[in-house]
Amino acid sequence: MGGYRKSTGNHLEACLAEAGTLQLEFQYLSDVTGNPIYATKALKAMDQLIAIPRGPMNLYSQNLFINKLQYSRDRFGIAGCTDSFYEYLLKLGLATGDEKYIKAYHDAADVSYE
Amino acid sequence: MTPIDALDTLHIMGLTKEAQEAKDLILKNLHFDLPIEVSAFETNIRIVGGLLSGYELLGDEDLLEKAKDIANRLLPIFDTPTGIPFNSVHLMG
Repeated sequence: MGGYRKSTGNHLEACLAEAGTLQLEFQYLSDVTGNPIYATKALKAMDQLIAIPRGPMNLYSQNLFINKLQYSRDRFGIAGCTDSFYEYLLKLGLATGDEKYIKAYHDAADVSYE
Repeated sequence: MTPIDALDTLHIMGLTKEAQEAKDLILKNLHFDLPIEVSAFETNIRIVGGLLSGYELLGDEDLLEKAKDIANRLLPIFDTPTGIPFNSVHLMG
């Protein structure tokens, strides 16, 4: 992890956890400031993560491109660059009341149990 | 970074004096005009998150202002073709 990467190379890839563990804070910030920009940008990122065509058994891969909706590597599992994405899906659904995040969480969690 | 991380915990634990000291330290010393590249993920969960939970618990508007400051410096990470963010950003743009 430790993504000091933008200027030195890996600015084409992101990982699920890094892209999907921003939303709670940004949603809250929009709520208390009244400025929607934080939530708009952060939630769009989350929606895009959900929109990437998935792997076998509908699994999320850990690594994805930033410039197109596609996984860059097939790394399926629950590890350091993945786990908090699922955590934030569930919490974001609870915080916003938006069912699509709860559903996305359950879709992913149910497969993980198998 | 530690006082920011710990601020909400200190408050919840009833360590009011320590929480106040941490808050004063943060408001006096924390600034983001630093010529460094940071991890967006780490900065968000520890600094934005720490400042916002401090604001939520203590109600100090100055904490919110600091949170807005650092969040504004993170916003450029989302300027990508997909809206999926870069994983790091330079604090001074």
